[in-house]
Amino acid sequence: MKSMNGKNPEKDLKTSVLERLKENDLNPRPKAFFLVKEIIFWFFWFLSTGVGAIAVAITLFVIGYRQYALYEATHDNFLTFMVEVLPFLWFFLLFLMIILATYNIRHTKRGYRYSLLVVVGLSVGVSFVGGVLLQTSGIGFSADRWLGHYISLYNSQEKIELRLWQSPVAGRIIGQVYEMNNDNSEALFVDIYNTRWGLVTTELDDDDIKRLGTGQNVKVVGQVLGIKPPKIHVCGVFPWFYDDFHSREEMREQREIMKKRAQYYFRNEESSKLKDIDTYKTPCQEMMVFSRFNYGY
Amino acid sequence: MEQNQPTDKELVEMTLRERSSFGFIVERYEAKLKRYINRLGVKNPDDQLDVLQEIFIKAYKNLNSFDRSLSFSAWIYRIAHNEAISWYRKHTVRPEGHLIADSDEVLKLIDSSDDTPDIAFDQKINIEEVGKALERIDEKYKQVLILRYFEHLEYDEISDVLKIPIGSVGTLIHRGKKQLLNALNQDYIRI
Repeated sequence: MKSMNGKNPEKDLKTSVLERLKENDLNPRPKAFFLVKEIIFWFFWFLSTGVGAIAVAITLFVIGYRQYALYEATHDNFLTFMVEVLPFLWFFLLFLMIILATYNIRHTKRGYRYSLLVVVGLSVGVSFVGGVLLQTSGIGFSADRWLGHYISLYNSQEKIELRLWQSPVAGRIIGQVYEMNNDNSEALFVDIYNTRWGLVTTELDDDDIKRLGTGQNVKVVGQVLGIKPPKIHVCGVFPWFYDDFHSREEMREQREIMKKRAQYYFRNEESSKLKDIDTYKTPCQEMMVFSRFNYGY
Repeated sequence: MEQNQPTDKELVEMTLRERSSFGFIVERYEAKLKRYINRLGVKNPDDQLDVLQEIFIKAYKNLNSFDRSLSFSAWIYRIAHNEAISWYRKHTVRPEGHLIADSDEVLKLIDSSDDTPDIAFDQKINIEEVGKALERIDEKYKQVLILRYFEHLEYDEISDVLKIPIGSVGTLIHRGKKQLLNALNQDYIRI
């Protein structure tokens, strides 16, 4: 082969390279090899942003819809409530997925040309837009619930809410009434773990009684009067929402019910002496749960 | 390069059809890459030959990964860069550049207008001093300054060689020059 530039070719290197190629029968790797490599990076980028989107969807679902309505019933303040219900696992996963997505996009053919800010921004942006879309189509709720059902260690919002509301020691149970007496002052109730409870319903209003009578699962809050046999003095009845997707409006209604109950129990003069429990007359008025709702009344 | 000579991209196509055409690529880039790896620290002629062989073998094997919309020169410099780095990692030596610069190159470095900090130092700086100063600045700055002012690559080509964002190339050149200026000033103080 003649030199193309007309100068003396540096034969040693050229010859040795060509000889080595021939001796070892080396050939260029096929285009498909590089194409597959590129596809793999993009695939993992899509996968990581997809998981990131699910993380965002579940986070939005938790933040936007769940449990806020009655947080005073289960926690001392909003902070302790948030610490318990926020999906930290998903925050961590989102963070991890953004790192993975960034890594993958940086390793695509031209990914290195863009600044870290652009690449991270793109991955975060896609995850957030995907997450909003998933959440608006109800997938945040479904994914969280599905994972909760199939992965025992996964702490879904459903499990959290069950744990928060099926807590007899704290005077909270979930279940349904299967029998009520004629004057609606007492009822027989079975909780989600099949424990049968006697309910004293003398302090409930008509709306509460209606909710008890639907035969649907409800959340009951009250003062436990005894364990053998299990008996509870009921102070509030709220719908159990976790069997379907519910709107913010429904959550607001639930909160209004709780406020109304609180207002009812603290409507008298003693309501201003919240710390002086001895002045309360009924079991429900003794429940500090309602005092948390009393701000502003 | 004369006008009737095939372009790099044409040579790549030719090589993919006929292996022996790769010899033209070797010819075209041997001297440039030898000078480049020398600047990066591979100084021994035998080592240079080994590294160059590896560069061209790798280039041949990965020829199909060359993106035709980018510069072939940047692509092969990238391979050379990686090979030089892996060579001095294997030999556990700090990359020591051996800068072969002519006075035009040094003057270009000093006078270049694509810098934002105003490098206003004595025009009588000799090549040896610049070479010594370049040895003392951070590796990342040295690499980018070598590619820009000794290999005469464009920003986008440097971005392709070092696999960094184009914007970072400008930043590294800017900071590299600042550091180089400090290194040169220190030399003056010593003198």
